Amino acid sequence: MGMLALNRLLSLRRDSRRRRRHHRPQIRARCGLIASTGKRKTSPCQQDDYDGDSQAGKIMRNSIPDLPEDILFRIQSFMSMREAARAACVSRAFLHSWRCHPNLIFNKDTIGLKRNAFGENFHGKIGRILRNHSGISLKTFQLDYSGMCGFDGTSYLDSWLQIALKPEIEELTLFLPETNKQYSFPCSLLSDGVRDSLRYIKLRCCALHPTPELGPLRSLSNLHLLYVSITWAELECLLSNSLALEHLELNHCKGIICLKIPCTLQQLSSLNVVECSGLKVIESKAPNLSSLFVRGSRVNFSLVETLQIKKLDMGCAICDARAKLPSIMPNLETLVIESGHEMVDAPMLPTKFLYLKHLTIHMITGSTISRPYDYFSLVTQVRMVHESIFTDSQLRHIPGHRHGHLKSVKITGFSSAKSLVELTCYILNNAVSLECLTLDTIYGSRCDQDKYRRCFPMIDGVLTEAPRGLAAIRTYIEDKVPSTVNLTVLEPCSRCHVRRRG
Amino acid sequence: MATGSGAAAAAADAEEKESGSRMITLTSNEGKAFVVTEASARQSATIRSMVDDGGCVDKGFPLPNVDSKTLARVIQYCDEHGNKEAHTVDERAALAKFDKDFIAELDADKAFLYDVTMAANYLHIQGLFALTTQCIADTIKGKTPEEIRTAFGIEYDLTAQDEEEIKEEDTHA
Repeated sequence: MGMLALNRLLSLRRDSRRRRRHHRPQIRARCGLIASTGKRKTSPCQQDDYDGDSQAGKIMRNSIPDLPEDILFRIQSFMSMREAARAACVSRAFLHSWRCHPNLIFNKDTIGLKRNAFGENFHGKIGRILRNHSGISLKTFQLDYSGMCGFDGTSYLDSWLQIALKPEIEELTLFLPETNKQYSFPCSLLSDGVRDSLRYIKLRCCALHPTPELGPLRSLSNLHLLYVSITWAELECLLSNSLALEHLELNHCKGIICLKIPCTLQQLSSLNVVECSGLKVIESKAPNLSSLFVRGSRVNFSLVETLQIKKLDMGCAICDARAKLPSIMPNLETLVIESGHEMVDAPMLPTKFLYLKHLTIHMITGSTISRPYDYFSLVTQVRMVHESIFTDSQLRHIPGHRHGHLKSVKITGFSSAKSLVELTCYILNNAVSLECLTLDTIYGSRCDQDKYRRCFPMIDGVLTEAPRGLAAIRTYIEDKVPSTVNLTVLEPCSRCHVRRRG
Repeated sequence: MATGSGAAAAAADAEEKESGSRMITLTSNEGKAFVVTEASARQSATIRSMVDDGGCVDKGFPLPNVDSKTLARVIQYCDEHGNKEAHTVDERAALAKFDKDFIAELDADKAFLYDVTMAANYLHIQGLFALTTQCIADTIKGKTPEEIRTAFGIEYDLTAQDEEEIKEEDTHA
């Protein structure tokens, strides 16, 4: 029995030495299916590669093309599409392997569009690569129009999807641009085999109209719909067939009026609902939903199974969150609140989240300095209208609780608001385990972390206030920082936040 | 009665212990025998399934498609991963360091690297196969076709039709 298996292995022996040798240095020099690195050497003659190389004979004995196909596929699966495409003109074995590359990811970077390229360049390249691809073993198909204005490939999409949507496909991303005529996703291409293997679907700017006839999507764990035209009845068809669903995102899907997640979605752990302006009711009976992200909709928590929720990210007033959430979601570990309408005189009840580990509060105030809010009230009930520390430097001191576990605090949009300085001093006094304190005088992403290499734009008011915030830190905070705390102070970016003069 | 069942349990225990420390002989295509622990041999899914099926443990396993030099190196990997624990952070770090040094040494001799890759594939040694194929992929990344051919001693064997197709897909055409 054992020998049988070994003999089977033997039969996998390589089928080498049937490849012809060509001397075509002029072709070799210009290979590069996709964008080249520009590092290409100028046509070294074939003889140059081997002449005088005593190792060549030895290496040839076992060079890569002689490896069985499955090994070469495996090697290519570790390479990006661009790298695999570039390697395709190494030899026939590489070319064949490229034709079976498991991941086809088309975006402006992988296609290497020139600055003045237009839609037909992009579509022509994709069409040619797809036509030559075997379709076999394709796992990921991504088409992403981000950063390309005015390109409309809707007329090609049906034929491309016919090639891409084959059994074994696992990931489908169609990140389409806004076009005059909306593309209607062909649900008919979701054949039985495709529905078996598809794990991930992300669609943007298209219409999706599944019918009750759609069969089960047995592996679908991720569904992301952005700017997708779909009604609740249609989405319900999809959800009732996607019992393995773990993550659901609905982003700007205006056609959905109500969302009623059934209890049959046992695996569903995260739900993101973003700016679905038509949405009136959010209901969830999913028993394992642990993460909820909501923007632009009100949630009536009596309609949602909340006991198991550990992460909540939503827009609501801080006072509301403190008053209601602890009893509704006692197991909350991560809370992110985005508040755009904080009421100055709202009652602030003492509250306690027993398991909370991460707390983030975004205050949308238009301008950080014009809006009165008592930041200090986040720890106490004393109320006081926003006032600069330089107007009244008498700091309030409140004997607080010791916060034994708080390790890292970051305050962005740090201004000279007195209550903010008080809050910071309170944290320094009471968070005995604090390790890091970061005070950023602006907010939003920075150019060194942002994929577009630009800082989040700041209005002048914030930039005017920034030096005052810095001065407040120097005067009132720096000397209170214990040696165990690493203080980082961030100023506006010298490149992106140069203020207009005059 | 009670004594009897106790003795049976002890015998079963002893047998289990014995199977854990059982030695297995692997024979290369040159006829050289390598005696390894069963734990080491079980790194290979192929050998593992044969052992579990009650296959020829006593007779040993001839490996007619693996030469002695390659087999010795494969066994070096299996010994490290099969015989050592990887429960604590330190143990895992030691294993990771072993892998790093192991692959760095192999990478210096590409032909040998392929032999080990083929053997890892044939014997279904998942960790070793991932290690060697990743290493080959890393070598290819960032190289021009010419550089890849030079690095691996690959023949240029594209036909005129292949060239035509490549030209068609070439975005710079």
